[in-house]
Amino acid sequence: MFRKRSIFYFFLLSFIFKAILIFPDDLADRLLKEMDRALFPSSFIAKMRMTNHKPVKEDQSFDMIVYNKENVGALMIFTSPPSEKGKKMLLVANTIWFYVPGTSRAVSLSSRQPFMGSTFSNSDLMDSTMHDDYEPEVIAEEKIDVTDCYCLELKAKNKGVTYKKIIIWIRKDYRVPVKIEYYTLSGKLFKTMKLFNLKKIAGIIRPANYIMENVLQKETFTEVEILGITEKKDLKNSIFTQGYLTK
Amino acid sequence: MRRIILLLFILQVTLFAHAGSNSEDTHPEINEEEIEELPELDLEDLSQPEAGEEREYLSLTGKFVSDSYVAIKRENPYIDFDSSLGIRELENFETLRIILNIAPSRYIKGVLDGGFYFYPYVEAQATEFNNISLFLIEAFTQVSIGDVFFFKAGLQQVDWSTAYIWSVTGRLNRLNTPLSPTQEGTGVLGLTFEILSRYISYTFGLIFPDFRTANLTGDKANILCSWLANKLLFSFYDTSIMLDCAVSFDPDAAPDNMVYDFFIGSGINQEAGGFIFYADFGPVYSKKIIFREDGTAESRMDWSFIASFGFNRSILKHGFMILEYNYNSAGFSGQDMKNFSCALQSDEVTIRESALSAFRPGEMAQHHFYLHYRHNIMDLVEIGFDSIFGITDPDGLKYNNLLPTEYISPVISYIGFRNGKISLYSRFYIRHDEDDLGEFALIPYCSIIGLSFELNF
Repeated sequence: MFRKRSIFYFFLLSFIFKAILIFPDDLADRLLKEMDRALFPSSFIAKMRMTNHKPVKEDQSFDMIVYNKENVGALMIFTSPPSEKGKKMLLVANTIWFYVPGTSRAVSLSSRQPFMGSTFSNSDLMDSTMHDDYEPEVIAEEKIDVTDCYCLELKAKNKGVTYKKIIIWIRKDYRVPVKIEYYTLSGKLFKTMKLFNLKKIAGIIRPANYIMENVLQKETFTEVEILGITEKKDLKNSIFTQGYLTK
Repeated sequence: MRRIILLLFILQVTLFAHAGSNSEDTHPEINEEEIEELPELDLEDLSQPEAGEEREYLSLTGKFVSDSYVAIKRENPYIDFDSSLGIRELENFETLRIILNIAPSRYIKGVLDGGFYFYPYVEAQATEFNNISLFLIEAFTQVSIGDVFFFKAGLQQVDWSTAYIWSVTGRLNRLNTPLSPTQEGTGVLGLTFEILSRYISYTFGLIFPDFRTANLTGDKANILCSWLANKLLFSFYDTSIMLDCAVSFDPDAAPDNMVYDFFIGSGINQEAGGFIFYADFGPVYSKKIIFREDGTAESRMDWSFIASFGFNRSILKHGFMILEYNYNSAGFSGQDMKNFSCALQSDEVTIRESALSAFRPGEMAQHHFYLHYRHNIMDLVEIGFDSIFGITDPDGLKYNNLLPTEYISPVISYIGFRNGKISLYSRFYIRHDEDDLGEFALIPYCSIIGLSFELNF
């Protein structure tokens, strides 16, 4: 009798343990963390080029250097075109600080504002992690362009974030996002981002190109290309301060 | 019991198989060895642009010179010949301003921001003034150690404020040109030392006696004093809080007539619902000049309180606005303004010079509002305006209600060039009638129209 009970409790405990391991919420949480890691290293310096495409205007490109340190902040320094050279943007928490050369101090901006006339908001480009701001849930498994993907729905944890709801399709193999949909507070689809051109970036396969389309404005989209990247874990915290912007 | 154990076993096998399938999904269509590897960055050469149309152009300057530009301006002032200020008649003049930011290494840089005023219609022999004059806004050298410690020496802006236009700390760096009250003025000569860290940053400043001209006549400022200034900046999540204090003294004054100037400022910056709210406030103990009704003046040390509140916000995606309110308890009432106007016309040179040195349009009233707006049209044209509304107490004036005295500066710029912009702007100093004694009404210009060309390289 005692032996049978022991066997019963053994199976019961191991069942509970395994059930916890594959609980859908846990899977969603894990996927989102893995996606954050798959997009960028936790601490890096990168060179990026952003190009705005608008229906009645010549394409407009910006080159920038990005310093990013997970849980600390992101700093972006423009290197081209000449009219934008030297401008700097700093993201700390949900606040953006913007510095223009020739002025004596940085100005604080909302992270929801459009980024340099693009379809990206300030936080889209500068906040490289979503796990801290959103609660994920796996809602489907779908194919996007013959690629097997998990479909995650993200709901905002706090009111300070730019979007109330985000839906992400994450590749099952490399855990990189393929497509992201951003929704307004009223629940309408606002923007769609497509990520493509997988490359080995800092030792891991990641997308090197992003296209953000504005659903409300046809033929208006912004493309971001990662030109080079270096993982750098010893970035100093002082780089991500208001004071550093004016230096 | 056996059945239950069997059921648990079957469930485990099923779930284990399902869990395994989650972690082992692979897609053989991608051959990892064929995937291109993105090159590592050359961290020593980060400022150079990547291959592209700008590479050749910027490679000439990109190595050593960053964020630099040249601006050429022509300004046509329309003079108010009935103005009570007996100042020289500035006719049309041109400005050449050059900003050079030279960085031979990541840890050393030099900044030179200055230029020339040209008065082509002023004949040197007919006036005591030259038709070319030099101006400097900043000229300093900065050395940093490991991106944490920064030492700066020279003529520099010491702008520690949270607010845009008016702040307690503005006393350190306050001399804006009366002709353009919303633009930054000449820096101060000093040494500053800054330590930056993630949550707390500290700045110490030693500012030397002021040598700048303070008014339209070119008279020296009467603020011949040194400042010892300290700033602490706390940054937590979305909130930043600034505390600063400074003390100054007049090194030339006799010990029993020593003049002190002291303030404690604080600032806070917070985002909420797409708005950035800010506040900047603190007490000030300083020397004030009191102008009396009988045309005399006296100075005395007194406490006052300065507070600025405001917000900025983007409007309809392409617009950006700032609204700021300022209260200065030591600001002029309507009667004070009337007395001040009398002092400007006094026969006594010392009274008149005291009045001229205190003449700071945009800072004199007790209450001010600042409104800024810019709107981007198709990334080609930018239109907007800056305006200041100073509200003085109506005592002593002929008006029976609050009297606004306004300054407004509309601007339109073509921003379609990749390396510069052209701007057409104006500055209007609005007066209501000849009895208007508001701070902007005392400026001897009705308006200024300017055209500027900026070239970035």
